Amino acid sequence: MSSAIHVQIRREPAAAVIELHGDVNSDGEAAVKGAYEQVTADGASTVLLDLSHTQYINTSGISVLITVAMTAKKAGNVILVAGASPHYKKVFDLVRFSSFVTMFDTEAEALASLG
Amino acid sequence: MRTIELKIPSETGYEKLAMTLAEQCARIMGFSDSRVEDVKTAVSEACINAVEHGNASDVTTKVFVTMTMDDDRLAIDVADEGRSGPPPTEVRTPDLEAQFAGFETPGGMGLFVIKALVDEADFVEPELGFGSQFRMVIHLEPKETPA
Repeated sequence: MSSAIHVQIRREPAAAVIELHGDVNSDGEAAVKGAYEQVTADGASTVLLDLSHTQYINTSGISVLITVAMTAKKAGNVILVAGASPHYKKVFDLVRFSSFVTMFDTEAEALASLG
Repeated sequence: MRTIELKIPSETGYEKLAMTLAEQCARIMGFSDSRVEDVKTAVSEACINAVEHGNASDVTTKVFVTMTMDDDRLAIDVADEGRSGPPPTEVRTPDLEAQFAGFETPGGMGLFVIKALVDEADFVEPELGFGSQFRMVIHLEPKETPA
């Protein structure tokens, strides 16, 4: 029933971009963590998670995003999040995830913020 | 009053069927787009809780979802077969500081989010006679009347 997550990785000058497609839930943990590990192994210290291609995020999926953000923080890396719908931004605010990572409406705004 | 019932397998992913049904009920009743999204997320989280906690991910069990449409409110009951004891008696606020500090495993946000998104949410006496039954109620906002 789930629309399995798949990730697409791009390297922009200011950040590595991980596009999440499909459902962001517990099933996607390995894919999201794997993508983060891949881009940081390739030298990225700023990683943008682009949620604009996903229609469904549940709290297990938010836990996956928190885990990646925790891993980044411990390594001294920066995680940005872009493209969440107004509803999911509200949910991120409720659980205070948005207090721990910087949120942007669009990928372009996030990349522009990096100068 | 109109009632719609759905029985789904205890496997994550099937909560999306309940979300689709809840969305249609909410739209028929005239909920705003924003409230429809709240209802969808609340139903999804309640079904996942029923699968993972209530039914302990036992694939031989089912989750029973009942939507009751009244003129001014939508009630959604999510019942499980009670494979893991009684439901929680209190809702914990997720402590992201502790999670970010590594003192807690990320998670435990479902009930907290549901309570924040709907007007009423609580466990009620199970009509099945066993298991747990979680009831959510969402009130229809008063419609604006033309001047």
